[in-house]
Amino acid sequence: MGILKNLFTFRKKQSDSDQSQVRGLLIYENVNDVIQAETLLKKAGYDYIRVVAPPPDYRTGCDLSLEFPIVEQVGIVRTLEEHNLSPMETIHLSEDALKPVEICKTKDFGDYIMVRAANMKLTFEKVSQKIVNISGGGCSDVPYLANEMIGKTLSEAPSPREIGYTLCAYSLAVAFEEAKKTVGKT
Amino acid sequence: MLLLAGTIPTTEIKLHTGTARLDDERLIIGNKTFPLNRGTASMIGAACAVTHYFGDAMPQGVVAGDIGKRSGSRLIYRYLTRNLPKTKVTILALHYIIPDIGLHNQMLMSVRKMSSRPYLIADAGLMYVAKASGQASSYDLFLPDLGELAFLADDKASHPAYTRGFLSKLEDDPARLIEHAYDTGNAAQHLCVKGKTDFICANGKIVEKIDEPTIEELEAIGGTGDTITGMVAGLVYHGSSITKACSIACKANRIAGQIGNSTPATQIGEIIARIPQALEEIFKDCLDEGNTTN
Repeated sequence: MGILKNLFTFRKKQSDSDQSQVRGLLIYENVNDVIQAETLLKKAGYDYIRVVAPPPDYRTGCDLSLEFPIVEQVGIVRTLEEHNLSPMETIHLSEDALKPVEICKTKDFGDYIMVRAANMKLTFEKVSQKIVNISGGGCSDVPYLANEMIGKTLSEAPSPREIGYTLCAYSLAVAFEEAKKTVGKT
Repeated sequence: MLLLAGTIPTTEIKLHTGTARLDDERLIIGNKTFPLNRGTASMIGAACAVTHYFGDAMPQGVVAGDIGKRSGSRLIYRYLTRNLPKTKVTILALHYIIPDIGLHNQMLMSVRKMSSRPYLIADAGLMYVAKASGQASSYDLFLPDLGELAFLADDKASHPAYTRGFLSKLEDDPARLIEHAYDTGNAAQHLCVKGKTDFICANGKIVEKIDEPTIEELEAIGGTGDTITGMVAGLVYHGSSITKACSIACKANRIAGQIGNSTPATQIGEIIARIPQALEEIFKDCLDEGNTTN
């Protein structure tokens, strides 16, 4: 019994290892499609997919792609096709891809808290939980996102994941989610 | 001619060009009016405040509506690629735009066809793509904040969102990040690093640090980096050296924030409105010390 258990554990580890070594990338034309595909696949149970930078040949300067275990390709692509989210291209990956920043820094201004993720900063008032400013970033949806979010509370404001299109929107979404967690802790 | 270009957060307009000016808290370009929001409008607004202060010719604006879907960004890249060789632009400041390496490189080719090469100032998305395309050293000035400086120092990252953690941890040591950015060829000739302390750099060396007056709230206010970029463009157009322009603009931004007792909830229009008063204070001090804008 012990031998069988060890064998099973070995196979499982090998399988996990294979999954981590043989990976593919789903390439899309814009960041918003990647964010939608990520949300869909995670809801469908593929919670081990990761958003990463596409390889250099595919980069425009503002892009994301989805990394997945190649053994799952058929199911993943079918799920995406069923929701009109087919990737532009599917490629095999040979080396580690860069991952977007998920770590936030928080600064306390007394009545206000500023949360920063990568190049994006979101500031809200502690008492009202109203978003009072958004700064940083450089992609063209940042001023648009600021217009849509400033003046609304953290619970009322739309998520940049839903209305944004770029990597700056992705970073702002990370800061927005951290701000909500910060409020939950106080 | 001073030309400033970037996207505006609207779906209402495509490409639009014209002479820019301020009217109360609104920006007017040609026959259209725009709110003085963060981003390109703040940059152009701040440049207008400077050119008006000195009585110089007002800047030209090239804007296009884009809420992140790339269409307006592409119109700007293509407009500049097509028209720059025919213009007499002496200062070109480029701002919020979706990074697109291919279109950026075409635009830079057009700059090289100009009879006289303009000063190239890049911030925001245009700075990201200038670095990602490996063309950073073609630019005269980048204006990163600390997060963006870490991105410039990371030779693998194609966007600030991909900056690797070990470089982000160096944000407490900007001098090392500045050194990395220059060593890896990912800095422009000059850097104006905006933060609690502003660092002005020329050809790999820090030439000035500005940390007074200390207005920490400015970091939270969207558009305070954009106003520095616009002021620098206006000052270089007036005749200042890049380092002197950065020095004046960083100080003016802080003073404008101080005059209005800024809080993290202050909006950028209030800062732009105080730029003339801030410049007045700086030049009063400069004259007392026998310095000029050069």
